[in-house]
Amino acid sequence: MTNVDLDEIYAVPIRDRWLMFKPRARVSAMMNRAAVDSLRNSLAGGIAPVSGSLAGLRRWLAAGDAAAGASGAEPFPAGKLVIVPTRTCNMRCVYCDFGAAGDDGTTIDPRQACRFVEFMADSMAREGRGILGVHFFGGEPLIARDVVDTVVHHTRSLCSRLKIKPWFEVTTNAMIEPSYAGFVGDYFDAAVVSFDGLPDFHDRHRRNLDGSSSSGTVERTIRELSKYPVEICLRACITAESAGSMRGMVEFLSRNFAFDVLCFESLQANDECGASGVSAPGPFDFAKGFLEASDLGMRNGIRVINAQAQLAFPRSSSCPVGTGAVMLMPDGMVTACYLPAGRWLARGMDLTVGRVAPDGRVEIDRSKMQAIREQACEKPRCRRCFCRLSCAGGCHVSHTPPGCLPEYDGHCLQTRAITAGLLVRELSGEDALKELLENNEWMEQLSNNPDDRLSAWK
Amino acid sequence: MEVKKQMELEDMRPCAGWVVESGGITLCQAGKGAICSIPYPFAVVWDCMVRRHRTERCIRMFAAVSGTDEDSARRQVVACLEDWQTKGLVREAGDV
Repeated sequence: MTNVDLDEIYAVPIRDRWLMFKPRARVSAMMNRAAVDSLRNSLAGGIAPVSGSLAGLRRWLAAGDAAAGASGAEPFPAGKLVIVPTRTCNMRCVYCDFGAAGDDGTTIDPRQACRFVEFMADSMAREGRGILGVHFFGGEPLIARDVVDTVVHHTRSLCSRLKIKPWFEVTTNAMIEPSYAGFVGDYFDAAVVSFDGLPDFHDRHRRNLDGSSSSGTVERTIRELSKYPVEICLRACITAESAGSMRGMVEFLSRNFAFDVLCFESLQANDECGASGVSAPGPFDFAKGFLEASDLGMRNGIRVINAQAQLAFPRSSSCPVGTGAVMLMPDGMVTACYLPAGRWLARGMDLTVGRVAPDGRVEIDRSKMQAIREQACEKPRCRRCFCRLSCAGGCHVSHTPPGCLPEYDGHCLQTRAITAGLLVRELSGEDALKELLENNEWMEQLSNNPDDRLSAWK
Repeated sequence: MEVKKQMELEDMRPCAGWVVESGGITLCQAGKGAICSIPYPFAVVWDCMVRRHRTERCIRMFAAVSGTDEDSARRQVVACLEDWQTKGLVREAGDV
């Protein structure tokens, strides 16, 4: 019998029990200390003195990781392109730090964008890849309609010729005319619509350029899009003020709209937030709100998600930088990150990997791209955390940049609490989750556990 | 035929509907099912027509998608519309 890598198996304290988790094999169990001791000794020694149900669990934990998909960074070309046609936006959200406020209106030439897609599609076809994902991001991408429409048609044309399946996604504020929602519905596979859960919060956070409210138009667009076979993900940014209303958001949204996914993200504090008086929610407030809301969502047939706490399959990064997506910026630069360059330059990082020249020539530094990707997939802070293959460090720029402190931060605590809660519900049911959520001490204990690795078990 | 006039007058009413396919657009008619496939780059013209886009925008988009210059794109768009009219896929709005 072979030894098992105990760094790949985690034990997280939940009250007087332990949550055992091996993400690569997607195996989890709840057990007492004696059982963890026993399993740990057995796995470390390579012999199997355990019996009964523990013997079965041991076999699962010791089994190979054939199903795992997180062995390392995906090679170039990755299957996803991000096109940021412009940083300009037709809204002024109080927490936005994506560069819209100081934007000079630069918009990529549609022909440059088409050459970029051609270059990537050809690379993918040569590698035998089957799906080309194109994600439009901004600013507000749908105000650059010439770029979006042209790229969509060109990509479809190309993919048909190359026998690749195109997959289109847009992240939008949904401030568009109903007729343009028809275009999105006809040609897009997924639309991520920013809607802050309840009209009242939405109108306070997400304002038009003239300061007026925007929820009415967004609601109209969601209803229009729901007439089409496009997956609709509503994305709500949660503040300290709105964290207690997440269940109410699920109730309101499921009662009023037809959609597929509700994504809750906590506000990340920035300079804009401070000036406008909104603040980030406490990590446990957000975690509790999320878990209660996801429970209600399940009962209403809605998938409630948080980007960092996804357990469907192991992944080496939840950040686009680590997944190898390549991004075309409005000025023709190609980067590994969709954030405005100033954000990563301020951290001493250079995430530019190429450019598309005005004449359409595409240059991409593949070795630099690979080096960036590998760095984003290897986070010293995450080595001891049971979320290493789900959150995997979150945002490479703002959460776990190279040289960041090894201690968990608020975002880590939040993600650890959510992930543990999801596993507890899966293993022990809703009542067990409810009991956990009602006990702050248990939540803090599990989230602050300094090292989850079975190799560090004492 | 002058393109601008053509784009303003033509209508898709003879067809009951159309669907987006991987390589273009397929036109359908009640009782007949799929009656015609329009591949790219000509699917761009159909999409622009049903969305009532300005002709110049359609020509720019056609040029970008087909990788040609705008003069050539203009000629191809005109020819395409004449062909559709001949085949009865579109007719001038005033004829209905």
